[in-house]
Amino acid sequence: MNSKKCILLVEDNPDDEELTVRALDRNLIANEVVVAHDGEEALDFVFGRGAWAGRDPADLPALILLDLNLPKLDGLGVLRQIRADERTRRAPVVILTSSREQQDLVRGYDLGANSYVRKPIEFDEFVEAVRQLGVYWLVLNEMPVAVVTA
Amino acid sequence: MFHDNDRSRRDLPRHFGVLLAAVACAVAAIDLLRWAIDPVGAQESTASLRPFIAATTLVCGGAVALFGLRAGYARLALALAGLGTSLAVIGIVITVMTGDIAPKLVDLVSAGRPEHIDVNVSLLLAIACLSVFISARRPFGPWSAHVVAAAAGLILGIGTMNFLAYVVQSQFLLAAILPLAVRLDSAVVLILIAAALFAHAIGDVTRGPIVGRVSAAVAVAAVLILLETYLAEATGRLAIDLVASDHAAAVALLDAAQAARIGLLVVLFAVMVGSVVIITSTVARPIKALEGALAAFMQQHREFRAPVIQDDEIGELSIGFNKLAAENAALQHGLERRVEERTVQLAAVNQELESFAYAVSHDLRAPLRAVEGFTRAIVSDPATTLSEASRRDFGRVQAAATRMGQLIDDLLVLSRITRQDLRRERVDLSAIAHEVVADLRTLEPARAVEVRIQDGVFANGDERLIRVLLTNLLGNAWKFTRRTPDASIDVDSDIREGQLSYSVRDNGAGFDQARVDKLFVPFQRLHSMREFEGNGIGLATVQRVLQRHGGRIAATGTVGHGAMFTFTLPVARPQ
Repeated sequence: MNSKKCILLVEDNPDDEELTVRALDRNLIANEVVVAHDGEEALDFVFGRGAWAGRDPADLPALILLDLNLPKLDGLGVLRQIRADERTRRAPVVILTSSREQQDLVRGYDLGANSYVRKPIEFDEFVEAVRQLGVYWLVLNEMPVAVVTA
Repeated sequence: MFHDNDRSRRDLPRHFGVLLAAVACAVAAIDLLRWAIDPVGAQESTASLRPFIAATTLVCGGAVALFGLRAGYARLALALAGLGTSLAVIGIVITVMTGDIAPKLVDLVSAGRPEHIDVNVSLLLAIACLSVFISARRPFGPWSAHVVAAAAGLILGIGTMNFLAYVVQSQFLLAAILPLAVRLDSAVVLILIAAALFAHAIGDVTRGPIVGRVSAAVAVAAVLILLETYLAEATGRLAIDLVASDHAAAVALLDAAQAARIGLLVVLFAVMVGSVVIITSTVARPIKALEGALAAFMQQHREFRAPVIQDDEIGELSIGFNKLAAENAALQHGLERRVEERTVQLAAVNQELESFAYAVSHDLRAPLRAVEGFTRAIVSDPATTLSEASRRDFGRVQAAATRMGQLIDDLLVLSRITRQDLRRERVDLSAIAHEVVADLRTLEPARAVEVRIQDGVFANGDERLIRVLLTNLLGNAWKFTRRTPDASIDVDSDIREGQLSYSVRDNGAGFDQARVDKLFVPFQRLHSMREFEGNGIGLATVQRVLQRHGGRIAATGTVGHGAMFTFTLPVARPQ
């Protein structure tokens, strides 16, 4: 039902970007994948500014996969701004990161992350994790219809 | 020591000594004068020194007085002491040569002035002069003071005994001092000179106004008693002489003497009362104040200082106490500052460690994911053709990357145990042990291990850390019993000396007891990777958890017969 919507992958490491894209491919997830390489770029896409001027922010991505360690603006900063804006506050955001530090988990959830997934080292496990994320967020989970505010 | 202007007050006893010596000199000089003006009267008087003894006394008293004045008079005192010693020796020689020196009791009883016992007074005067002679030659110190005090004690003792014997007229006492007998007049001057010497010694050894005041009061009282007794004795004899010729004069003399004696006793009483008042105000009160200051200081009032009421020994003590208190406070302050500095440094180091761990957690894993992921991509790409050997090699690369990921995770756990705050609470060890074993069974459902866990064991500690601890110990027991046919794990507890002792025992592979030291060192393994997997961080983590709780761990094992790990934790407070 969210098949037309895109997936926003916020990831600065090209290896991780490639692996994530491959994992999505392996799971036959057909949604368009938009990659943002730093926090600013991610916000440009979400709010339709900069390179993405003209994009409607109300057109939420089906899923935002957000890394925490990012140049310019870190993942938690991105999350804070997404949650602060009326138009984007309901966007499903999954933190996908290397860290399992308690402070990251706590702050991520405090800022309103929908899930927190740690990237496993084994690629097979990673593929499985992405598969489950796709099944859950793109198939099972129901999102409210976009509310167009005045 | 603390105030130089104390000097004059310190010298009080010595000045008193100079005065006493001067009185002795005056007595001797008056007697000499009497001999010059009226030899017959002097001869008949009971209270008159014979010329030679008077001259020796004059020189000796002068030496003692000058000795008391100290600075500037030392040479003169030395000269006079030498002269006095010589005169006294000559006196002894003359007396011995001229007559019978053995004193007879009858002489003492009848007149109190037998000529042939002058040898004793000469000897005592010689001793007094010698003590001055010895002491005046060197800077006055404790040693000289002891010489002077010893001489003074000897002379004072003999003089006082003689004096009392004459006054009391006790046959027994007279017989007792017979070998040491001196004439009554001699006894008085000897007492004066000895007291002067004593005052010098006291003034220099103790060097304190309080001692000075007390000695002065005692000396004044002693002199008053002596005077009163002497007055009674002298007027009594005089009245007896007079009573036959002029009865009225004798009665008048006795009345006058009685009035004088009453006056002396009143003064004596006043001196005693004054002494009590002085001691109370200058000794008891300052000591009380010092006590109060000490008590306040002990109760953590570090800024409290004792009041310095007087410039005396107690004043010095108070100043010393205040110095000590100030030093102590400064030391305390310094310590507090150092602790503060260290704490700040420690916090900085901890912060750095925190950042480091964070960086490790994030940045070290990313390349490993790439290594593992892309290797997997190569291997699983249908388009790649790989030999069986290459395929195996890639498998090793992947396994190594995975192992390194596990290593990083374990190291992070170890460092987190050191970093995170300890939350002490009541922890149900039995419940955690059951949960850990249940997890292990889920991971390897095929294994049949008999696990016996003692129920109802509680400890006081941080639940998260204790979970890590039990996961590691039970995980080890689980792992090392993998090749044991009838695998079993026993978890027991005991309470010893207020500590909970908890043990995990298995019948697995065991270890060589000789190498037990290596067990708890990170990355040290006692088994090969091929036998049992692991990275050697588990037991180091266990030990770190126990260190943070103030507990200990001990291990015993035999190769092939299992191992037992026993650790201690604080006992949980009853709920």
